[in-house]
Amino acid sequence: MSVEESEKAIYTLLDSRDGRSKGIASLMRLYSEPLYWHIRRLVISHEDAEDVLQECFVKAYNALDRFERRSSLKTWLYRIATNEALRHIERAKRERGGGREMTISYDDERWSIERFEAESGVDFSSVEAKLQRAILTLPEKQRMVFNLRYFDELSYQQISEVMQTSESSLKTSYHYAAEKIRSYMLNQIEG
Amino acid sequence: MESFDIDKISRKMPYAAPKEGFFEEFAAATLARIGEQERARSDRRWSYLLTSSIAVAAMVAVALTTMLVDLPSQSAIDRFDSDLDQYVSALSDDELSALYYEVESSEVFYDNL
Repeated sequence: MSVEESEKAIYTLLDSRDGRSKGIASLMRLYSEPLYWHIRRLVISHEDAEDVLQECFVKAYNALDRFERRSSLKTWLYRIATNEALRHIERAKRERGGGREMTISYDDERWSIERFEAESGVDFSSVEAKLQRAILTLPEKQRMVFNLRYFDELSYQQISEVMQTSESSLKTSYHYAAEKIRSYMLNQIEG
Repeated sequence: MESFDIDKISRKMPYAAPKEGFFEEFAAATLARIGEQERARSDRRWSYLLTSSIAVAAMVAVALTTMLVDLPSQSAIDRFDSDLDQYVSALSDDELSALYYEVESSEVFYDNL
């Protein structure tokens, strides 16, 4: 069954009187794993990713009546997951700063890199780990676009629905992100 | 720089993958949370309905009582007291004794009820 057909079947469940829970269960079967990895690339730790993912599905369940179906369920869920992950990061940054307003900017990558370096079970000498570190040095918008395009393989149109940004702006961001990553990786290999 | 192609790097994440069965357990836990939330919402709805019904019933009862019981006004009570005083002061001693006897008999009657 294609993703479109699966979503259509889920809509039928969600529209039926007693099918909401089944509809959400089907949504989780279809999108839990890709959303988990999308969230994890942003929040880094497994426990945080699990919390954010659950919040994402509970919020989606509560917002079903307000979902206007102008986008696919997939991009709608990615949007909720992205917003929840960013909210989580902001909260974690504030907690790290002892509840005070942090002086670091929203785009600051230090928080992510520190968390990445503290993550256990990562072979930091692997190319994949170096690529992750390179991605985490990017400004937030470029990091998001790169992740959604490179790992989640969303189209620019889908990413624009998730991030509410024009496709041309996203293409530019992806181009800059890819150039910075290429340069970072070359330095790592040559250095 | 042209020699490096990021598309050739594997998409595999460097993090340890969640344990086997994680997504099934996650789905069950999330559905349980949604179920609890729905139950709490339903309880709140019933409690609200019950409270509202009691409040509405109380208001209706007060309104009905006010409409059905025609309570005398304070001026009517004052007028009655003044008429009674005038009536009693106009009675002769014999008439007063007869009235006293009548009242006393009725009290005995009520006491025996």
